[in-house]
Amino acid sequence: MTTGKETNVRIKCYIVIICAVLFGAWCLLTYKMGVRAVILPSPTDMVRAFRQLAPSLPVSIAASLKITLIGFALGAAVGLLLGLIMGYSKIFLQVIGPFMEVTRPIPVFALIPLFMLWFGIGILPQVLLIALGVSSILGVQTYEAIRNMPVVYVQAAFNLGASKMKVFKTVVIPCIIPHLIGAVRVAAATSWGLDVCAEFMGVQTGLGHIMIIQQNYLNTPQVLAIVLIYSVLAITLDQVIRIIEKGATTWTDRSSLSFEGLTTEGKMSRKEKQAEKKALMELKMQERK
Amino acid sequence: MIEFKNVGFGYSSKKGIAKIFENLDFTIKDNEFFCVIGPSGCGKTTLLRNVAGFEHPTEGVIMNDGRPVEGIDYRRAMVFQDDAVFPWLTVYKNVEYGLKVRGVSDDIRQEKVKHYINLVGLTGCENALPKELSGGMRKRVDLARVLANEPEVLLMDEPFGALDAMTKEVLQEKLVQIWNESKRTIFFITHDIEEALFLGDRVGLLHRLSDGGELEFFNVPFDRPRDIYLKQQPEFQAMRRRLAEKFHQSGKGGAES
Ligand SMILES: Nc1ncnc2c1ncn2[C@@H]1O[C@H](COP(=O)(O)OP(=O)(O)O)[C@@H](O)[C@H]1O
Ligand SMILES: [Mg+2]
Repeated sequence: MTTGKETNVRIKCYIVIICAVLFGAWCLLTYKMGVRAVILPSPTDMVRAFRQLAPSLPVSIAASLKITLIGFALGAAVGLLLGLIMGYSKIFLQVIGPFMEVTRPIPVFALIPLFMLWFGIGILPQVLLIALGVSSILGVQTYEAIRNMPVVYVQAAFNLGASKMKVFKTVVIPCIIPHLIGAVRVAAATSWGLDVCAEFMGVQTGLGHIMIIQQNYLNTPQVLAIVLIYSVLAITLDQVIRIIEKGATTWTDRSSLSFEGLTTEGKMSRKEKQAEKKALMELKMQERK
Repeated sequence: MIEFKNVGFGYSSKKGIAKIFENLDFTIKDNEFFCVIGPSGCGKTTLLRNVAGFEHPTEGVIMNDGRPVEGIDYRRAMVFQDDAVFPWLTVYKNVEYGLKVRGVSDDIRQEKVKHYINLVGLTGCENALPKELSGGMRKRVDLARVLANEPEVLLMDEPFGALDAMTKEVLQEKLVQIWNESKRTIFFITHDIEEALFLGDRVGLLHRLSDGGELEFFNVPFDRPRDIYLKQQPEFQAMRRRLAEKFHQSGKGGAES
């Protein structure tokens, strides 16, 4: 068995090695093998691209960030609320549920052109689009989480004197939060995708807009640079969500995967098997003597 | 006083109503410690859920202090068979829960929570989360949480069924002590005959409906206060054996849990 610290060092080594290999391959392809910058820009091209984009970046990043975050927050609020109301009121569920079922499979991306026609090309259609995508994910997930929660907590709460409203506030909501984190992360990722798409379709600001212009000039390094910026933004948002998750779910048992750190008897690692073989061989040798 | 007047119950299923028990006609006196035993699946939990107001009798009526039971009420408090302690609240907040949702004022709340945490022997664990506690300690939290509401009737569904023998004995003594200090009616379900005889004033043996569905009563003659050495007395063992015979006649073909 290795200690946790050793494993950590080993994992870090692997990561560094993989990064080095990837970077090496990149350099090799671009500098030595002459792959053109339109297909795959070299590290030097990338540095140059960032320099060239730098002046317009703050404004564009701010525009994209604003739209995505507003859309995401709006959608999350509406989705959670819808899910909670569907869990709270059977009548509401039976009336709204079928509409949600029918509209949910429609790809939100397909609605972009319509949204532009209806709401113009300002910030409104983008925000609404992202909000729609996020709320349809979170609405369903919230309702499912409520349906899957252990009945005994609700019954216990009623039996301790809570009203239905109190049960919702003090039992249902805390109980479902850990089960919603996954959905919130998916929704956040989706909202970046929707932002890019909307900006492709004709919005005059934002990172996606610059990307389309650069693509028209076949400026692959600039396009790639913007992809990287989007990635950094998306990863940052994801990390923020995970930090919030840590605070909200300390009471649950799950820390990492539940099957980590468990071994079954009879299954040995290759090293252990080899050690055992060696020991057996030595024993046999001794017997022969 | 809880009166069962010709009570029957059936779950409605696709094939109609699946009867669980019927024609139950008896009374639980005020401050009585009444235990029900019976083979698995005979309807003990269902019976208790009817008293708690989670289910409603399909025949007859259950009266509590002369009024029919119509729904859930904190004054008829249930201790569930499953672990029902809220895992997202600390021990303190769990015990406080009932008082808080009922709008009891801050200072009274504080006093009561402290008292009941102390009563079940959890002082010092106030800020622990349930996942940090053993099964026995979680049952103590559950008990304190229910007691903090000061219910008139305690409905307990195999509360110690999942605990080891040692913990079980400690909690049995604790429960009797609590009941002695502030008398109230306890309707206690168990599949452990020894537990029923040790705790109860009266034991009811519920038979499966397929075996007649009768509820047989046995008065427990042992004086209080009882200590755990009672379990080794020949009279106790003799009564235990008598009940066990009845129990196994009734439970033939079924597992005992
Ligand atoms: N919600 C339910 N719907 C239908 N049948 C049920 C339900 N709950 C319990 N039963 C049935 O009722 C019978 C009695 O169950 P229960 O009261 O839990 O028995 P016990 O607590 O004595 O073991 C069992 O046969 C069980 O399958
Ligand atoms: Mg049961």
